[in-house]
Amino acid sequence: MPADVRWSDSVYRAGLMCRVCRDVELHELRYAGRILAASTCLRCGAVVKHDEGDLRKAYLRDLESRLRTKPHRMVKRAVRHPAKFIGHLPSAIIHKPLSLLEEAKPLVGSLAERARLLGRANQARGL
Amino acid sequence: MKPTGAKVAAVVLAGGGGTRFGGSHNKVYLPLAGRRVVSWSLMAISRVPCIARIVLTVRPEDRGLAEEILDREVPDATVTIIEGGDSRHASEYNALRHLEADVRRGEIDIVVIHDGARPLIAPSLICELIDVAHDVGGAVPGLPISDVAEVDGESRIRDRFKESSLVRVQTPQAFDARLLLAAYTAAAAEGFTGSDTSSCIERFTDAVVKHVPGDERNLKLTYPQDLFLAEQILAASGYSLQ
Repeated sequence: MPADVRWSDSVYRAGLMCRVCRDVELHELRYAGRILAASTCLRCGAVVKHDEGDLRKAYLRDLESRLRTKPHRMVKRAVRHPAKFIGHLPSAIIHKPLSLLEEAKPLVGSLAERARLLGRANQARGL
Repeated sequence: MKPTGAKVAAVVLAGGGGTRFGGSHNKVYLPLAGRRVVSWSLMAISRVPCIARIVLTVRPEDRGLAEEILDREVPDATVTIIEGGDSRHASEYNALRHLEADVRRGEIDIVVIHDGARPLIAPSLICELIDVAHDVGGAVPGLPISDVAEVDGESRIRDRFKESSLVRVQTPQAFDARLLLAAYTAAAAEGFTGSDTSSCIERFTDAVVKHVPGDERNLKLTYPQDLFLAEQILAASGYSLQ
């Protein structure tokens, strides 16, 4: 796999048409798990985002589905490539929790932003 | 799903990627609802019983990634990966040359060509295209265009048409394998490069290419918004378009 295709499980880059630039430009796409959270044009900065409330719900629904189907998927992989599966298992045990935290970043970021804005609004109202 | 008894090969084109950014930023390898974009097409094609061969054209630098994706996401389908060319036309020609011996032996009657950036294809549409191509030589899905205006060289509206005979062409497109091979061989001899498969077959053969009603869901991933929409369409269909 080319190293620059996937440098994290939740951030990808691809050439897509930008409505502002009116040309194919490199875009950065952020995923929360399997759900596309946001796309940013790396030329003009135009952002297309998933609705935050909906994203949280969709992410949690998807996470639940992934956790439920994980054993089945692991068994299928183990049957198909037993040696590779066993070889990767120690690294997966260490890295999977970290990658779960990484993929939840867009959600944590949006929650932190909301908390910050709420705090600022309360401050302005003297609360 | 197999009314014609035709022996069919499908070619999925995944060789693009925007020359400015290189093949490694090819949108067909982006994740979409848990799978890569190209995997959705391959899975739909593998559900069509009369399709005996599946060929995926990739850029040389994407081969490793494509192999890993196939192994992980489309393990039950037998897909041959070949290298594409510098253009869509060249990739199609490479795929046809790969299938040439089987076509000449009569082991492939129909070739279906599909753009890997259109992940939302329904197996029923593929079957319909194969049926029509088997009957007349070629079949192309298209959506009617309404509210069309004719504009002159100075951007002035000349005429309006509520209804038009124009259609927005989609893929997959299905063709008689021998005619398609003949058309691309002739095109190579003349140095002709077609904009799509149909344009080449129309120029170099007498085959009739018929229009089949396309599918609104069969969108081509062009803008970032298309990825969000495709995700919603897949979720609404229970992740399996019929």
